[in-house]
Amino acid sequence: MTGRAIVITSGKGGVGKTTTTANLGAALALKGKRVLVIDADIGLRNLDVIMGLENRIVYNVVDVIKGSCKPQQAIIKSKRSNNLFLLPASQTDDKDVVSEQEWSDLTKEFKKEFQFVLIDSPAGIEHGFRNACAGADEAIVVTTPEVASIRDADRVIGLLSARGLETSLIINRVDRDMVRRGDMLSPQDVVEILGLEQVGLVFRDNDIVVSANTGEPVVYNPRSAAGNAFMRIAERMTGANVPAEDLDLGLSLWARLGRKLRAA
Amino acid sequence: MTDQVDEGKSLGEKNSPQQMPNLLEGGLDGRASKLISARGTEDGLVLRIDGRAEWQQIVDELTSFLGDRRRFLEGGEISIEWLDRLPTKQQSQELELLLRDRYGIEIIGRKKKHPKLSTSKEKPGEKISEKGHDEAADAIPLLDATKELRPRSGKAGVSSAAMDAVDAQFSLSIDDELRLKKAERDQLRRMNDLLGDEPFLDDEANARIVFGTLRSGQRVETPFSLIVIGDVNPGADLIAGGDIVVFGVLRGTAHAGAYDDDAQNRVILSQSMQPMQLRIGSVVSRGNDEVGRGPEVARIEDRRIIVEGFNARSSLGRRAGR
Repeated sequence: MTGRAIVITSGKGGVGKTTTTANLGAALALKGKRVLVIDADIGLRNLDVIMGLENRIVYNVVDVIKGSCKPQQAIIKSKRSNNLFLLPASQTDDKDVVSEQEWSDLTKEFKKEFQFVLIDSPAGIEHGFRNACAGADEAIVVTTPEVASIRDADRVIGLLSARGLETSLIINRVDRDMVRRGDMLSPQDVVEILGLEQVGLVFRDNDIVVSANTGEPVVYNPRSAAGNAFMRIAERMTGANVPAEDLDLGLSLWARLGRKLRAA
Repeated sequence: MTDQVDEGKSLGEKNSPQQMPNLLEGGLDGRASKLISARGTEDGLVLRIDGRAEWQQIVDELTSFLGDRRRFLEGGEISIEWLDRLPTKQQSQELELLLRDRYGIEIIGRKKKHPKLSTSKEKPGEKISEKGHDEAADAIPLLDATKELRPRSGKAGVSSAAMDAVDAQFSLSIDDELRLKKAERDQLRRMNDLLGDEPFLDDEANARIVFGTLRSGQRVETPFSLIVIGDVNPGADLIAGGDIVVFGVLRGTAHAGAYDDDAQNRVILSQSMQPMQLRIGSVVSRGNDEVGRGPEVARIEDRRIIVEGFNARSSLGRRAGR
């Protein structure tokens, strides 16, 4: 079996890479896939916190790469699912203690064991980012509908395509009402700039904040808008034919016309 | 001088034909050690730099070049001759500072040389022919000197005192050059006439075409005109010696006529003009939020950049009539 290694990245920090990784991992596991999520943010780990597994860490990814332990010793099974596993980052090392080659080898090994290997990339485009991309076959770029975030996403998409990674896009923290009022860039505006076709939309949702504190991904909450969005994205990733979100956010014809006129 | 120099033959050939570096060749084949060379002329030391190389490479080469010859050059004055293209204003300043602060060298002049003129007998990619060699002005031996060069023998006409003063790596000292005989000096002048100083219109037959979207952080620079088939996103930079044409949305920064402060006739054309910034020559304008309908063209009028709807008849007429 060869799984798919997918790096989740954004360029800019704080747009929701780690939350996306945790939730997509949980959603894919709910769909019955065997999933490993790897925290590549060495030195600033927090995927374990988001997943509520912080107190179970004994070994980490640097230990595995340096051969101080076996992978089985470092990998932690999640609380809610028997299909979801976490390989935590080291908190005490620097990003440059591991090389791209080592990451690539490691990811290849895990692809034999898991159907999905999700790699949570650190912010930035330096060594840590390059490591995270090293073994990946695909990439998901997370952006929010803010200019700075889009700018960074654009830069990262350029770097990813130079590496030959197939890239899709998740637009995070979309606020329907603000878009309707014209106070926020619409997903359509974002897509127009970034020019990627595979898109998922995640709405702004206070449940995310709660879930980050409790260590319980929102996909387990059937009433969460963001949780449902991640579920839909996961379904699409497994090949299910789930229609993409309407980029127009179901704006009425008149609202759309109004926006067009204002833009012109 | 112990022997007569033949007309049409350079000092370099006389001394050691195989080892003497040919500057033109060096400029064209792009090998790292050939980016920079120097020669003594009547007007003092001229540093020649291949402007087509990456800027960082030029700086690195220059640093090592000057480092090796520090003792010799420190506190002096030089002129710089740029092969093919001049540096941008910012690059010029950087260079000036580097030379002044680190080596105490003042730059007293600069000019651009058109490599095609000086290598008329040469096909691209080929070594320069023997005949071309004779005709080419720059067969003048150069201070540059590849490392293998022998210290010059007395036979070549350098006094031993001068010899002592010069680093043994040098094939020829400035003194030496300045003592060129009249015939040689005439030859030099003829060659310089041949090379000429007239500006070279880079875009006459050349443009670079880029396919695909240019994203933030990506940068395309060319001494020629530039055509982009795709969008240019915010944070991407286009820099062209000639004109710029974007078949797509221009949201980044575009600089036409980048190597010419007085680039009155350069234009920037785009299917949809929403630029971060437009520059033509030394004129800069910020983009605003207005989005025009359809293709637009930016050009200079009264030292300012104006953007107007593109109309094939009127806009191109203006361009063609320059």
